[in-house]
Amino acid sequence: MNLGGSGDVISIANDSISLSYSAGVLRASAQSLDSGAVNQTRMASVAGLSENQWYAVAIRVENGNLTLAVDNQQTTTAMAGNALNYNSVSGDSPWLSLDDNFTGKVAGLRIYDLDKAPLAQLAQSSGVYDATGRATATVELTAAAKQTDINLAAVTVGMVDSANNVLTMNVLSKKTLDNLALAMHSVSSESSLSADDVMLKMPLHQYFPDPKVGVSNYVSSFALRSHVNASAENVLANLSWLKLESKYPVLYDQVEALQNYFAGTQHPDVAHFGAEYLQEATVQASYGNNFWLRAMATSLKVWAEMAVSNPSAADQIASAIQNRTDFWSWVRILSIPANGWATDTVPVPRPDITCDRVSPTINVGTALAYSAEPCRALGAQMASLVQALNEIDPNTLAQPELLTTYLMHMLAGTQQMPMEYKKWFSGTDNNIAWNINNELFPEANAVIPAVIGYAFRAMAIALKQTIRKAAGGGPANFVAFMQGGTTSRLKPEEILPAIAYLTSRFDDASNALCGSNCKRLEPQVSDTVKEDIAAWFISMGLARKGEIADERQVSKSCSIAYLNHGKGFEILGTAMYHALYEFGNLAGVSNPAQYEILLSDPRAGTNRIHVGLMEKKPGSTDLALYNKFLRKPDLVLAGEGEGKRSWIEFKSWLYNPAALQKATHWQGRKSESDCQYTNANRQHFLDFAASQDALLDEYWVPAGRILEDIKPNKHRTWFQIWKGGAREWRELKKDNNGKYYLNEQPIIRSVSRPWIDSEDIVGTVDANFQKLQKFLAGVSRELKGGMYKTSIGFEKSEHNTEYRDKQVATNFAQLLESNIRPFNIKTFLALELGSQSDELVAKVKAEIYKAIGDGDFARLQKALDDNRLTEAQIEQLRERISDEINTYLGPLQYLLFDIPGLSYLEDKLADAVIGEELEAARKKAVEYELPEDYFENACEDQ
Amino acid sequence: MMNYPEAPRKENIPTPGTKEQALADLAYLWTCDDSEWMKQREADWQKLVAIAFDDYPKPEKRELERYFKYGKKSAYMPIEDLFFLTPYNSEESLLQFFNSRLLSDNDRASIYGNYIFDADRFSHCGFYRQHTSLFIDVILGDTFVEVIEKTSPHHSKRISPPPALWCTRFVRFATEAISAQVVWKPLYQCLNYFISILPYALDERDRKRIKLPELLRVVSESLAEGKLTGELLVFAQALKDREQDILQAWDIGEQKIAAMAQQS
Repeated sequence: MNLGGSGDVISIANDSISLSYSAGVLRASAQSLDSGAVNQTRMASVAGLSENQWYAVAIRVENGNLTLAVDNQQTTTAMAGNALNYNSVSGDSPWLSLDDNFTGKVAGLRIYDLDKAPLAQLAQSSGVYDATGRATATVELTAAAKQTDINLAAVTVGMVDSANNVLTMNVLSKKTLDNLALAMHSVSSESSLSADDVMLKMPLHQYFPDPKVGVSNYVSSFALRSHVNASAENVLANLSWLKLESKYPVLYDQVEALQNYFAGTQHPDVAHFGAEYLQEATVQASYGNNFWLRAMATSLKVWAEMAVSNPSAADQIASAIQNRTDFWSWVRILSIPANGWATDTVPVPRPDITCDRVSPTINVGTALAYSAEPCRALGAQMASLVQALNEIDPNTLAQPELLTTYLMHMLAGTQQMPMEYKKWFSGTDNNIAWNINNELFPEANAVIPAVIGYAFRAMAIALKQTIRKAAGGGPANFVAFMQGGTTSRLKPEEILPAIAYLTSRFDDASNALCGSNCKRLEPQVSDTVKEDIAAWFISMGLARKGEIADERQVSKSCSIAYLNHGKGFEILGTAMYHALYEFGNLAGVSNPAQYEILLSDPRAGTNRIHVGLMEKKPGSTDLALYNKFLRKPDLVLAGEGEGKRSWIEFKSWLYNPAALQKATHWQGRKSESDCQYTNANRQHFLDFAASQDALLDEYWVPAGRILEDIKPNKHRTWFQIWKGGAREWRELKKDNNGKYYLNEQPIIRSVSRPWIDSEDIVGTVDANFQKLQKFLAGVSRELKGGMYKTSIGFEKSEHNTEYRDKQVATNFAQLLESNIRPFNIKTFLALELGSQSDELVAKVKAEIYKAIGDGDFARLQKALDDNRLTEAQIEQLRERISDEINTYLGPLQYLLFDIPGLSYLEDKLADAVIGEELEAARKKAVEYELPEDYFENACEDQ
Repeated sequence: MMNYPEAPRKENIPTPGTKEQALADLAYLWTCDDSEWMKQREADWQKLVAIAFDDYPKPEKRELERYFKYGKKSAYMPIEDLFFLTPYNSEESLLQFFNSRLLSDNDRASIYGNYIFDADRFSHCGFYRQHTSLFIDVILGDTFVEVIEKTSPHHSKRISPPPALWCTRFVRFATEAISAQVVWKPLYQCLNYFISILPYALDERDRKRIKLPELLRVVSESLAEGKLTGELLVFAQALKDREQDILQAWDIGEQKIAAMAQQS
């Protein structure tokens, strides 16, 4: 219940039982008749409660007592009589009602009748001592229990003799005994087993009334025997016990499914690998630490469900377990909670609580009607996660051990991951993943997924790429990146949703990701984006301890490490334009079709764009080609149609006034300096020339060939700006035993200096950015005047007044007129929308986030935008998550490894990696120059 | 604008499915077990690679060759190339290909607007005429129809040619073809289409570029010179015979523009 304002909350039978709230106090009342048959109302209250917060509330009337329980607080009041006195309820009135004025929320309601008949009883004439002092007791289900199809595996019976001595006895159901026998039989060479054999091997009486003691004794017996001989039997015996243990009845029906993995011939070693964990878990449990046991029970339950619902995925897991550590890893993976990733504690799921329903048997007999702990994933959800990974990297099918690797990396990455990325599971319907913990963090009740979580997909792709594309350094840098560290100019919350969004819109994305209503990228655009994403990951992997090279810091301009900033920005910009195209109409954008991306970095076949500049030869009135220049705008947008496209260029540059001061303009020749400033000026001039109509018929519609379909009448160059300052992260280190851990001492580095240091809509343009605009839009004195006039349509002497000066902006209104614009997400949207309205920007952002994150990301983002979550809250949250997951994970021993040789580039890297230390390999890789045709757009200035 | 009827409109409904499935469904067009067919394909490829794809990088040439000869495709290729290299040979197979997942809505729009002009670069190839003629008969048609495709339940995209731009191209390339006395071009089959689309050529920038008087002048002069023969002569004569229809179609556009100006 989430408390709203003061007032009545609930009434049963005209206030026979009622609940009201006022000023931090919940009051429950119940009526009963006293000894004089006078109706009396008694009250129980719990104080100190807060509004707009979720509580578990229970009212219990039993044995003449009224109990009100709110979370862990409980108050009991004696009633005037034992029985409730119900008021009469007229025909149309509800027996139970929520008050009309109640302004809080009720997430669910259950009613239990504690006066119902018992479930088990001694059979008649049973349990009576005979003349020899022996008694036979038969316990049977009551008729009521049989009617409700209740099945008890075991009960403890208390017996009292004539001397009033109390004796307890544990009784197994016949079905239980049969199941135990079956479990043993599956690994026994005996052709038949007697009940005595079973009881001898599994002396279950040891486990009652306190299973902890018995378990350690029991498991110890296996510990003395070699795994080779006893592991399967060991595991099966443990499973048999587990399904009998009162906390884990949910395993009951699925033990047989699991036995196939532990005793079957297809995976002969799984039991061997699992035995150690089971022993450790049960021994830990005997010392009162149920953590391991509970995680194991949860994981086995999920796995067993998978075996039924998605046997191939479950089988893949059995194949993925190739050593003892893998088994431990999968216990962790399979017991990942389906929700709770944005709550304030690391959730430890229970095997008996799924997210689709809260079992009515949970906690019956206690004041609380349901467990406050988070729910586990369903087998189908876990299978969908495995299937998503298969889809992202089909190699996981042939090499299932990759699944272990990917998922352990992701689990490790969650330690420092922004909380909005902790959404892993897809749901199979909307009822799944009801987040019972949203009382802790209402804005983050993010876990009601309808499709595969964008964040999971982003993480999965990120990890696959960093691991497989970037040799050994990738995961370490990725962990740093997720901490908000590294010198990346993009934050994880910018680039990862962009990657996830674009991959879900690829031309060949599965229908599960991009259904009939979503807008896919054009095939050519998909291909380029895929390469850009791969390049981004490679450069991320090759960064040195999280420090990503700025431009020209390495001697070879075409090295891989150089690509990170530019590629990341192109990915983000592409995602933003595609989002405007796809969702613009929802947010009131006029003509969103103008944003459709037709080409991205066009460079193949007929898609290659050459911009022609023309002139008049002396003595002739005819136009002649001066020269044509290859131009690869980062994006070609649909614009207003054929011949009226928009060309978009993205630049991520280090602020460098000294370099700008020395930079020279392009002089119009084919081969000139490779200075990035000169190149950018050339690109900008060609975009400007292409946008003019002076050469429309002479160049763009030449005889025999149509070039006009990609001719622009508008062009933009976006410069990425970013928040400057220091980045801090914890490095991944290796200890003397070869295990990896996060160093306590953080690394602190400064990011490159930005041109404009702002995360809000840029309203005032920095003077240095104006200088950049002036340079870029300028024209060289050496550029031929005749050619200029012919190609552009006016005199070169008019260039500054007609074009350049209009590109230099001092404020937002002037930026709207400029083709050279600063980029951050807010500024981008404001400029594209033509409005500096925060509200409009927020609306578009909300639509984009909604589509990316099914509404959850939007809600969380909005909470962050509105400052409803303070920095301190977020940091505290992350810290707690980090600490607890750290404990949960143990050493991060999987974080560095190599998978050499998947492609030409990786072969080259693998040559360097094998037999050498990672650092040496990285150094070599950073300076490795890409072959020209590997990433065709790699060497262009970023 | 009430006096001027809208262009007839029809909806094109692409075939759902995956690219892989589309490619598999079209595999029957590549009769690779027919040695004569393969021999011809090889000969055609040699011409294509020497002229049309001469300046393509090697990996792209290899990809195009694989598709042209065997119908195998694993990478992106520009739509005009893909279109010409597909051996559709009947109305059914062309429609099947045109509406398959191998083409996006933008691809279909591009083919509608550009193909008969852009395919000129394949004119040396033996099946050029059959290929482009079939396209005109089956897809473009004899009369302008605005063709739309639904991109979502509430949004549509026009894939038929933008009228003014298409007319610009038709007039320009027709003028050049007559002047250069080109024996045959696909656009020779498109006179009716041209006359039917011209009244809708209203885009101001592109309309200015429709050099109609120049085309009519070249037609008259060429006919007067008496040098035209064969299908070129038939085309030029048809243009001359229908000069009034053309001018009338142009005038309708003028009237619409005037009416729009008055309305605004």
